[in-house]
Amino acid sequence: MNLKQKSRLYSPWIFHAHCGGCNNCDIEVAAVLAPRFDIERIGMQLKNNPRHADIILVTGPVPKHSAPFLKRIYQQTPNPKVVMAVGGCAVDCGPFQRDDGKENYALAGPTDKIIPVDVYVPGCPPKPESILHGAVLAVSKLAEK
Amino acid sequence: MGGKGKLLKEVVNNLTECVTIDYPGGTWPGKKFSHIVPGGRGKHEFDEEKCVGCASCRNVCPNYTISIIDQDEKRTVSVFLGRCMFCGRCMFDCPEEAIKLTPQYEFANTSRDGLYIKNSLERKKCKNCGSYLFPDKQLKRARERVLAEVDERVRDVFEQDTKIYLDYCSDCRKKLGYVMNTNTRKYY
Repeated sequence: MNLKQKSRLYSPWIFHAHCGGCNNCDIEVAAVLAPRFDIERIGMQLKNNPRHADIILVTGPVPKHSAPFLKRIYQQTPNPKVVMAVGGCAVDCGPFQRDDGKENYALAGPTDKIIPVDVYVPGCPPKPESILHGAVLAVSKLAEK
Repeated sequence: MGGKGKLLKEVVNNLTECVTIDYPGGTWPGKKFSHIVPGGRGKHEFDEEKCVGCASCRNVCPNYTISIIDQDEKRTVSVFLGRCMFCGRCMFDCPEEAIKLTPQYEFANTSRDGLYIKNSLERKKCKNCGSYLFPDKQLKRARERVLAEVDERVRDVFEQDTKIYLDYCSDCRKKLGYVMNTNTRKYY
């Protein structure tokens, strides 16, 4: 492991992609960044540019109109990158999924239909500690790449 | 102490002590921090002895999280955590109190398959045609429940009849009704 890779592991920056959620997961993500559940202790910072980020954090069930944007964000992020799906919607569309197996007319499916997902964080919304646990998993995934 | 005093106390506390919670939950000098709250709703847990596979948790689930898969010998009750919103209705409506939401919250996973929680039960086989029926446990429990509420005058007759009836599937029960040598309806 060279110096560049090592320094990347100690400061993985996050880009938060909001894809049509109900804002509840986003509030929990804000709580994770705040001092009580301080995610900056593992060097994570919220960046508002995907070109600076190492980890993409997706919330929401990804409706059809925001699917191309998510694809573009994924392409803009430099390699190596890790994708975290946070919340029941991002993992499996949550309450918006139909029970009879047909597709919902408004959704482009859960996140892993559009981009490859590395870490799943279920919960509606997930607890801040749960997101923290997912973030630790994401860093270990980043070390493998 | 008034409102201002409380506020001052809070300010002093925040300046002197560390607000950040330890991860993974442990001890901080002078204070204990634990993420796990008693009564908090988190990961599901099956009590395998109590669960009868009656599917009442599936019927009550608002997100269609719980699914029931019937394969030849086994009935599998599987919970997919990714779709669950942890409302706890499966816990409240379970007649056997077999499914529970534990306060454990760490269930982030790197693969989709790791988010399933499963419990499998054995199904009963029909004596005549060999097709599979409900789980053995469920039939036993249902019989017990009905026997507890049935009228005392017909309880013995009912007990004898159900012993014979419950070994067959519903189609075979109709076909072999004359042969099975059970008591007729007039007793009930």
